[in-house]
Amino acid sequence: MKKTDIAVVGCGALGAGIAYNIAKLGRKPLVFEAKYFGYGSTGRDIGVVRGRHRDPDVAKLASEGLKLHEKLPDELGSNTLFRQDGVLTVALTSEEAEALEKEFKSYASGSFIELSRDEVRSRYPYLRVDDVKLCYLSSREGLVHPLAVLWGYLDAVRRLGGEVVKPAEVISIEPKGDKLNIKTALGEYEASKVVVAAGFRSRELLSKLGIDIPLEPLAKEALVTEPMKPFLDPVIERPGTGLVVAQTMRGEVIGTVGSLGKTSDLTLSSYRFLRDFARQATQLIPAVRSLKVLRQWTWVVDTTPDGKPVIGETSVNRVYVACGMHDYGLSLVPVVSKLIGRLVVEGVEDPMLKPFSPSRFG
Amino acid sequence: MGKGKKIVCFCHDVTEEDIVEAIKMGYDDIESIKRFTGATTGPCQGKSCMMHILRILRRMGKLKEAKTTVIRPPIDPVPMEALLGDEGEED
Ligand SMILES: Cc1cc2nc3c(=O)[nH]c(=O)nc-3n(C[C@H](O)[C@H](O)[C@H](O)COP(=O)(O)OP(=O)(O)OC[C@H]3O[C@@H](n4cnc5c(N)ncnc54)[C@H](O)[C@@H]3O)c2cc1C
Repeated sequence: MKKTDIAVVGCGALGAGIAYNIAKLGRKPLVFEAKYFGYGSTGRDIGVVRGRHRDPDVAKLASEGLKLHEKLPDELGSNTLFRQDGVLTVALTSEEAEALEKEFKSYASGSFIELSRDEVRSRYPYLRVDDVKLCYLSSREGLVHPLAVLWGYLDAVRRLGGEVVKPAEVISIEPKGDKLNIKTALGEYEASKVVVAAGFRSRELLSKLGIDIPLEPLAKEALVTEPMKPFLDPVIERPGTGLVVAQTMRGEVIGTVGSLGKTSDLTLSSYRFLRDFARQATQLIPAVRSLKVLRQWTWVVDTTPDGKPVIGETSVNRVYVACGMHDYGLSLVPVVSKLIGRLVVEGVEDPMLKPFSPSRFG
Repeated sequence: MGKGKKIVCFCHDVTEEDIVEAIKMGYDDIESIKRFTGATTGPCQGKSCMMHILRILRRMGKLKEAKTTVIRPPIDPVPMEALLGDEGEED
């Protein structure tokens, strides 16, 4: 049996971030990844970083997460391709406008501005504003390269003496005295502490320990087009229909539409998604009409009944969890991984984490 | 003049050196290489580069299974305007 200090299960952006923060506090993390780097949500992500959220508890994390995303390239010494050209949130019907106005009333003034239709037209001439009823610009928000965040953390983990192994699925975790026995595809390990950050698969792993986290896996679709010359500065989003459109630094237009859907054994990419995206994106940004779609994909995100993530120590001593990141987790990764790093290494629980305790499901 | 660059992926200008470097950094399976270098993600969707990369992996002793990346729809690029559907078409 191999001995190790602190083990992390799952090497998405979150697991890698947690490993980095553990290593930064002087410990040696060992990360197990079942497949390859970017296999999960992190590799399918659009990359929008928002500093706000409908749920006030999540909003606190998001606001802190945005600040840390700004500093991340310096901190890690690698470029995460974070581009703060703003997020433009639009409503195209009266109902959408009403809901949006109510939502933004709860956000800190100064974090966004309202733009009139004429202002939108003059700032963003490629947007068709005829149908726009209400528009807010959150100018510090923007787009990051999700995998660049993951790679940045991974690099830093290795530099600080941590280790990452793949493919290395964790099969079970069992307490043994004051240690934890971890069965993996690479053999058995003994660890002092374990952090599970395995996305929607966290549930089945923890249920073997008698811990029930009611995660529901829900499907999210996305697509990317061929590259075209940069024209779309901010991220455009229409919360009323789930539309998000952005242009990456490589010039590809990337986006999603619709709400999270039920999953089945055959969670496939759909024509309906392509059509809805094409209709809604061209309505707002006519120039994308002629762009060719290169790839579409679907992934399963980890959702909870109260819409909040699950972060903290579980009912089993020395076993921690960070999951339930829905489709907004990347924005939170820098702050969640920092706070859970401190909790695991120093035993200090930041008050910001209280609402996310795994024990809340009782 | 030394040898010229060996381009593996023409869509994103990825060279053989870039692929070898990625493999050395631990991005040593086809899915990781795809994400790390961008090769196979351009307009050709891997049709012209995938085999080159598999060959490099094999040469470096890293090819555990002869497997391509997961092929995502559409098989060939489709213009957005062709996806708008018929007027009034619902689900
Ligand atoms: C289509 C889509 C769009 C999104 N858009 C955004 C966005 O715009 N903005 C935003 O903030 N967030 C977005 N998200 C969410 C975001 O991607 C994630 O919340 C974030 O990347 C954190 O992911 P993670 O590390 O928790 O999980 P993952 O990236 O899924 O990582 C979990 C890892 O654990 C591994 N694993 C699972 N089980 C085991 C096991 N037993 N042993 C070992 N390893 C295991 C998996 O292989 C996987 O690599 C989006 C998600 C999707 C799917």
